[in-house]
Amino acid sequence: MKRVTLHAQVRDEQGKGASRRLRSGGFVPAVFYGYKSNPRILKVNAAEFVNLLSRDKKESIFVNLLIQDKDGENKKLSVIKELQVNSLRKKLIHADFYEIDLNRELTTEIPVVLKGTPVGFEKGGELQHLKRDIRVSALPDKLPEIIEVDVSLLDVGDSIKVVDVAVPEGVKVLDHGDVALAAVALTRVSLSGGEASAEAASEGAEPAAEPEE
Amino acid sequence: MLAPKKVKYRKLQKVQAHGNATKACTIDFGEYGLQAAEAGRISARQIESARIAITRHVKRGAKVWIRIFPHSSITKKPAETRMGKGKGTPEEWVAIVKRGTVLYEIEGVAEDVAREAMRLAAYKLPVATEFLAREIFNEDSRS
Repeated sequence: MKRVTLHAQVRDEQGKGASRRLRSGGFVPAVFYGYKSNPRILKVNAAEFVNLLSRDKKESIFVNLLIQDKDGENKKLSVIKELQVNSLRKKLIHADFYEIDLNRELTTEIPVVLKGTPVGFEKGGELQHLKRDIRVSALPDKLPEIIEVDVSLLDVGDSIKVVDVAVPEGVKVLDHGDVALAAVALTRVSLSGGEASAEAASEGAEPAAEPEE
Repeated sequence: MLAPKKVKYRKLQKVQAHGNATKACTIDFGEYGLQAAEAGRISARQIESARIAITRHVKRGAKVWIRIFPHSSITKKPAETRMGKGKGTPEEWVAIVKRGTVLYEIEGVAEDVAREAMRLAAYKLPVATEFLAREIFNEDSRS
């Protein structure tokens, strides 16, 4: 996995008011914790963090946290465990960094990227991306950034399941093998044949029924 | 149009949607979505009308999800009726929507087509809306 660097400072204040002051000052409140580390409350520069997130998916990176405190700078390798985002303002609210040990297995979710154009496209099918990440467990060095799935051989009605995915050696898939990742299904246009008749059937107004009490 | 099959009580008290949505406020199924930027009541007729606007624009070649459902009944008293004599009869079904709720999601089309489809759908809705993509932080977010 790709490693990126992020600067963080230890913060003294915590709570709603202090966090709001931090956010208005261009920082994001964060917390750092791990298997053997004590939790530490941090603040990271919002612009630097957003830049980092705009380049890579949060599941596909290890973050080298450079934590600045009274004693100097500490370097900690971590993953972004959780990210809280205000979905209306598109602003970061809080981040959780989880320390990783290179000798200990890590369980995480890896994004699934579909590649290729399915054979079923020409027959009027559409590609449905049903599951966007796979839960895996592996030593941090062995974890892939993404899992690529080739869908070019998929015909109409075919699907690719978790069990069909090839993962690198040393990576254990934790999701159930029967779960479908992607499928090619006929669109309603192809199913109906004539668009006009289907459209009329689909878009005709139905009277509002009075429900039972 | 969408309507509940069965309800426990036919007539409900009026509800005001305060605050921001904490559920159904992110894209969970498709690639792009339409998010309510303000709170309001969306009737079953408006939900259906916006859905038709989306499917017509994408020529029914995309997968569309409707993320809201009109669970609440709205009653109305007949015209020229004096006040009193009890609550009116249920006339329509509405979805009470909080600010931030994702109303529709779409998959299987390019971003510009999805954006245009959502713009057309937004005309049919009584609340202000915003277009939403799955990846919130992208090239445009960089400072």
